[in-house]
Amino acid sequence: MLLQLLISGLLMGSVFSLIAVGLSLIYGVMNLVNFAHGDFLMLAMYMSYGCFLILGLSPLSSLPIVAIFMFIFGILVYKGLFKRILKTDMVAQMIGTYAVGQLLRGIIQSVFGIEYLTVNTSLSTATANIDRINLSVAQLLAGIGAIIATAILMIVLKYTKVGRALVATSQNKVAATVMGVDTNKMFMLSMGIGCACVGLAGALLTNYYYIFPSVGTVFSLIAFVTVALGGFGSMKGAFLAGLAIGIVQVVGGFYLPSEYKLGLIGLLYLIVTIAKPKKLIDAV
Amino acid sequence: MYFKKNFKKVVSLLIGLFMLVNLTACSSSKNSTEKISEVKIGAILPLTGPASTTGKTAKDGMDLAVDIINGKYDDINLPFAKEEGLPGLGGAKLKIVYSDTQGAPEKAQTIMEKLVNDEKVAAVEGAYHSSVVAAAAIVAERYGVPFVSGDATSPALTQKGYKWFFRTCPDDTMIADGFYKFMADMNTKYSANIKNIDLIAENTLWGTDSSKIEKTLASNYNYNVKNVIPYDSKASEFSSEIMKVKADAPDAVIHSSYVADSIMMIKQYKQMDYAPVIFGNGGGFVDPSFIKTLGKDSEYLITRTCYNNDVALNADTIAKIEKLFFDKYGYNMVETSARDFENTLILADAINRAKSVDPNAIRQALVETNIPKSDLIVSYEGVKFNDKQQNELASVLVVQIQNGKYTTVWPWDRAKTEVEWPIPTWSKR
Repeated sequence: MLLQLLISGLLMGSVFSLIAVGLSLIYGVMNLVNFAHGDFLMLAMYMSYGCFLILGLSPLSSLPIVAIFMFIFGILVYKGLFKRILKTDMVAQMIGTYAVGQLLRGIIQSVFGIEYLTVNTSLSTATANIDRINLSVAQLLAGIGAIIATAILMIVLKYTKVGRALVATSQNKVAATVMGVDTNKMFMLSMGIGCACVGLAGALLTNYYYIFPSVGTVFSLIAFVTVALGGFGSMKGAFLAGLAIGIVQVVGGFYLPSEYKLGLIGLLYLIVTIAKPKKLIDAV
Repeated sequence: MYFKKNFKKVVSLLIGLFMLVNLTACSSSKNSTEKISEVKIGAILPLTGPASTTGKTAKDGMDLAVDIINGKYDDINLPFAKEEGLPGLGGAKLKIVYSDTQGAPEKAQTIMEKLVNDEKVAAVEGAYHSSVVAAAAIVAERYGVPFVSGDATSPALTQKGYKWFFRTCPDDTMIADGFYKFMADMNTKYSANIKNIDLIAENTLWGTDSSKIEKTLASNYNYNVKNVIPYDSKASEFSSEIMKVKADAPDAVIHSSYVADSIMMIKQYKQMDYAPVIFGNGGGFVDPSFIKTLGKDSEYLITRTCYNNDVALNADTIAKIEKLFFDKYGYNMVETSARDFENTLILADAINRAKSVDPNAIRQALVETNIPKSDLIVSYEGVKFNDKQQNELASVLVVQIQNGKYTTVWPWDRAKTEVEWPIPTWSKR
C-alpha cells in the first residue's frame, strides 16, 4: 500500500516539478513573479486538445508541437508585454501577469466554452498493473516524461554556453552583463524555456486530466509553493520540492484526513523555511 | 415661516396618500370578486455569479411553465395546459418578476422587500441556494407572503415551523432516505449484499451536511458506515481519497462531489483498477458535462435525480414538454428546470383554487394542495404538504448511466430498464 502511495505521489510530483521548474526559471532570471503561469499551462492543454480535435494527433505525438508553440508564445509574450511590465514595480508586475492570465482564460472560455473536456485515446485509458501496484499508463508516461524533460533542461543549463549564461543571469545580472551576456536575450529565452516546460507538462497532463478554463488555478498554487519550497529561482530545488509535494500530498492525504492535504503542503513549506531550504538542498 | 406652512402641507398630503394607499390595499383584498387580469409572482434566482448557469436552467423551467399556463396546449396533459390563464381567476395570466440573488444570502432581504412592496407579488418562488432561501423566508414571514421553493434542499428550512414557507422538492433527508431504500431493494431483488458503506464528501456546507444525514440515517437501515471521507474539492488529484476507499473495501461508496472532482475521482478509480459500487448524490454526477467528459468510463455509475426524461409514467407528456423546452432554449431539460417548472405549476394551482391574490387565501389553498402524480413530470409521488409544509410525497429517482444515457432504474414501477448488475470490473467494460 505504501509503495503504491509513494509511486502515485512521485508521478504526480514530477509533473508539479516540471511546472515549477519553468516558473522558477522565469523568476530566477527575470525576477518576475508570473501569476499567469497556471493559465499558460491551461493554454498548453487546450493547444494539445486542439491538435487532437483538428489534426487527430494524440497528445503524445503533438507534444513537440505544443512545446515549440509554447516556446514561441513565451517569447512573444515577453516581447509584447512582459518586457514592458518588467519596467514597473513589483506589485504592478504581479497584477500585470495576473491580468494576462485572466485575459487568456477569457479568450479560451469564449472559444471553447465552459465545458469539461478530455482527450480519450487508447493510451489515456490504459492501465498498468505491476505486482498489485496500479498505475495509469498516461500518468506513468507523464511522470517519466516530466523527469526526462527536467533532466535535459538541467544538463542544458549546466553544460552549454547558453545554459551557463542563463544561470549567470539568474545569479547576478550585473556581473553577467559585464561578462558580455545579453540579459535581454536571456530574459526572452527564459520565458521561452519556462513556457515550453509548462507546454510539455500541459501536453503530458492532457492524456489523463480534464481540461477546463480554470484548470490552471489548481496547479498554479502548488507551483508557487513548490518554487518557494525549492528556494526561489533554484531549478534543482524546484524539482526536488515538486516530488516532495507530490509524495506529501498523496501519502499524507492517505494517513491523515484527506481534506487537509493542501494544508499539509503549507505545513511542509513552513517547516522547510524554518530549517533553511538552501542548506537542505545543497546537502542533497 | 413660509417653509413651516409648506411643511405642514407636505405632511398632510403624505398622511392623505398613506390613507389612500391603505384604503386601496383594503379594497383589493376585500373585493376578490373584482376581475384580475394578471397575477404577479416573484422568483428569486442566482442569475449572475458562479451559479448563474444553474440559475438559468431554473428560470427556463419557470418560463416554460408560464407558457403552459398562459397559452393553450390541447395535446398536453397537464393542469392549465388546455385553457388560457388561470380559470379560477377568470382566465387571469400569470407573470413572473425575476430578481437576481447572485447566490448571496445578504441580497435576499432587499430583493424580497422590493418584490413585496414595489411589485406587489402574490407569492414568491426560488432561490436554489438553501442559504439564500433561509434569509428570504424570514422576510416572507414578516410580510406574510407565501414563499414556495422547489429547488433548495437543506432540511433546516422546513424545520423552523415557518407559517409562509413551503417546499415542493425533497429535502436532503428524503433524498438520502430514497437512496437507502433503493439499496435495500437492491439487496432483496439482486442479492446485492450492500451492508458496509463509505461516504466520500466535499468539505463545504453541502457535502458536510449530506454526509452527516447519510451517516445518521444509515442505522435505520442497518447499514454500517465504515468511513466518512471529507475532502477538499479544489485539490489537483484524489489518489489518497480513492486509496482510502480501496483499503476499506466497502460494498458501496456514496459520493457528494462537484463536477471537476467527481470527474477526476472516477478517472482515478480506474487508474487504481478499483471498481466499487459507486453512487452519486446528484451534484457533479448529474451535471450536463459529466457523461460527455467521462465517456465510456461513466457507464454503470448510479446517481439520484428528481427528473429523468425516460420514466414510463406520463411518458407522453414528458416527451412533449421536453420538445417544447428544447425548441425554446436549445438544450435538454435538466433536473433544476424540471423541479422549478413543477414548482410554478404547483403554486399556480394554489392561486387558482384560492380564486384570489390575497396571501391568506393562497396560503390556505397551499395547505390544502393535493396533486396526484399523474399531473406531474417530476419523480414525486404527488404533492401534499405536511404540518411542516414540506411536500411529504416528494421523492427521488435512481438512474444508472447505460449506453451514455441516464436511464431510470428505480423505483421499480418507474424504471425504464433493469439495473446493470453486478458492476463489472474496469477490464471487463
